[in-house]
Amino acid sequence: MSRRFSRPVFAALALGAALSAAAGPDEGQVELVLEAGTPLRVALDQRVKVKRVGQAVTATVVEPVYAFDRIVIPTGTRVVGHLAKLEGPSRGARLRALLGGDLTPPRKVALGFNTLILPDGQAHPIDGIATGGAENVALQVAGASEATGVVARARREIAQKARQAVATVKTPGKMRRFKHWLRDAALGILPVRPQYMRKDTVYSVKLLAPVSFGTVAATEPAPAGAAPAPGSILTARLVTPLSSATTPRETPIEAVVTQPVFSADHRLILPEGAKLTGEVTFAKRARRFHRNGQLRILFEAVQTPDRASEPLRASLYSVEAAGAARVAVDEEGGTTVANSNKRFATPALASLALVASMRRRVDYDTDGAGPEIQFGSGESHGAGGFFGLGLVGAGAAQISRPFALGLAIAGVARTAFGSIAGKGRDVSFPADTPIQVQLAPGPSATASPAPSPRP
Amino acid sequence: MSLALALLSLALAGREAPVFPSEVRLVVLHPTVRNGRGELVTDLDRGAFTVYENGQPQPITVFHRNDVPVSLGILIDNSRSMASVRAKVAAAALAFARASNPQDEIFVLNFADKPRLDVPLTTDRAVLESGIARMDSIGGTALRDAIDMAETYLVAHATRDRKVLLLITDGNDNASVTPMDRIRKQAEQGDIAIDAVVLLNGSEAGRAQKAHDQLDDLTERTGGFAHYPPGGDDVGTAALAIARQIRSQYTLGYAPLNQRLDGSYRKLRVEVKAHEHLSVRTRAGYRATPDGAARTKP
Repeated sequence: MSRRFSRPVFAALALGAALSAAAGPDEGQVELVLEAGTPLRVALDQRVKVKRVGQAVTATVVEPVYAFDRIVIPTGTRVVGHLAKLEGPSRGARLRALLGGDLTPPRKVALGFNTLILPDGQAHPIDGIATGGAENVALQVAGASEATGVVARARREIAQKARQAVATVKTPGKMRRFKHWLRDAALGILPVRPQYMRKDTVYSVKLLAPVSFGTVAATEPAPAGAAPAPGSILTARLVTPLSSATTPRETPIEAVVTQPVFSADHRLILPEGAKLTGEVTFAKRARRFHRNGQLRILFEAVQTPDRASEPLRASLYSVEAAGAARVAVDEEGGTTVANSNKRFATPALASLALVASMRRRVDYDTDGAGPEIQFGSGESHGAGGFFGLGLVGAGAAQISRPFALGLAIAGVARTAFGSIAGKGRDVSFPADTPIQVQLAPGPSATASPAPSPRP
Repeated sequence: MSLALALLSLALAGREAPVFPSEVRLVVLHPTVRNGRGELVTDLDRGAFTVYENGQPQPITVFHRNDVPVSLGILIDNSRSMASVRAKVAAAALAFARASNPQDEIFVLNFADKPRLDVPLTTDRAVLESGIARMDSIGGTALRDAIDMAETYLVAHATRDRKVLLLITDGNDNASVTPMDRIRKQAEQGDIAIDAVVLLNGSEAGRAQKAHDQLDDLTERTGGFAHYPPGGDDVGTAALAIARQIRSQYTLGYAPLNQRLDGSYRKLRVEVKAHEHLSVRTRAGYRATPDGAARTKP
């Protein structure tokens, strides 16, 4: 995102605070422009069955978009587009899917958007493209301690509000979402299944061409040296993609302020587009036995187009991530991936299926052939086969007992490796990930009386 | 310095100095003695002490119970989790500095994601206070990295024989790359005592216990103490207790009966004889290497 200054405004801003303090809002105009590359965060309006290139899709903007000092695309703006491209999965993905009993792994989908319909009905032509949507997106907010302090309570409230803001498009209630989940889960076990894009999947639509929203009077800038209040929270998006696996300690990072910051008297301190720079201060790769990656970043300077870089220390406060990513932000701004305890359920069930498949019993007369020793049952073989090779395995396990046993053993091995012994997950944030950073509280006040030393 | 102290001590005691071979190592300890009520005991004589190295009693040749100046580092946790107590922590650090021996040389190292030496070694208390006030509470806690930097700095720049580090932290290290072994080894080789004031409130139980155990182990091995004040209001009291403890330590020195520099680890133990039960805390041992924590008489 960016803006184009008319000459007088640019000159006034470049001259700095002394001049700008005298400048009234009428003295300068600013053209509000979203430059190419600006991302719009949108959520799909309905569940879409992926059929062919060209099929229509609509989505709703879930985060307001600012240009310079004001909102130009509010939350709730509709975007209209189509399915622009379908790309088959890689060989590796196809093989992995096959081993899991999935004969139709999902294709990569690219969406193209061409019209923006603002809440007042005004339409703007745009040229935007989106790939890689994320489901159940929420802001992961720095965890407050369990202490019942005012700060902790305030943080919880902010986190709750933030979640609600992101969830404005999550219309279905719990029961409806459960039904959707059940339907998707049932579809998910079929070896051949249609591909869907779920309702509310959040996409980052990247503009391929600039969009202008006209020229307006610029907000009066704050005096030189004015800084956001200590401890305040800035909204930004990452420019540098981050990963605990590939961005080691001391890697320089950059983010862009996406919401302007004003002083108490409503003068502009940081416009949208101000650049935050810092570095990765700690990175640990994911390791075996589900030890997940860890990542910490720290911003140390801010730069606006009209001012030189100024020191500004800020740590991560929240990050937007899909629910499935299980990203957790600690109280000090560090990020990791939280393991789910439910991951032990699948290997446990696979083990039970294996034990049941090996269980010895005497069948006296069910088939009229006299007493005979049997191992397991059709159901247990089916369950073992299912964990080994999905629905295909469940059917194949009925062929013979040794084959069923083999599939059940494969199921235990596969699920145990995947859920217990396997490599953990790295923390990854792609470019344009929305974040919030919290500024340092400022130099400490050492006014508290020091206890006097005992003589 | 230790050797000079040793010779001075012997002269004062009116004894003839023992004849050292051409290279005699002198091992110096700074034990803290407390009674059953946890109070410092500062009036014991040389005869009350017995020093054991690998279980073998050693002849004590240096004995002091004076307030000997130290080279000291104050390491202040400046991470986000300390924000709510930072004013109290700063006040406690100031109180600690004021309660220390005026001849102590002190440096201040603030740390969060990275350690930062804010005040180099100085005896000027005004300079110290400006460094302590520089806290801004942002980012994670790289505690081990900070200790590593402080140990390296002390070894390179300290002018006093006794070296001490005081940590004021919530103990929850989440940003360090330095392994704990390296810190222990450096403290052992540099004869650095580590004391800590630890505010563990708010941490997740499992991690808090781990941090508790690690700091207990580190401070105990180096002859220091870890204090766990129940709240921010008690940080100052704990810091003052450590200042008193540092000024109340004894100085014991001995020439080990085993003079070989074979690189082996020598366990140290100090016992005191008194009419009541007393506990002694000193460093757990040293490694007999040429660069180890034992001084050599040329």
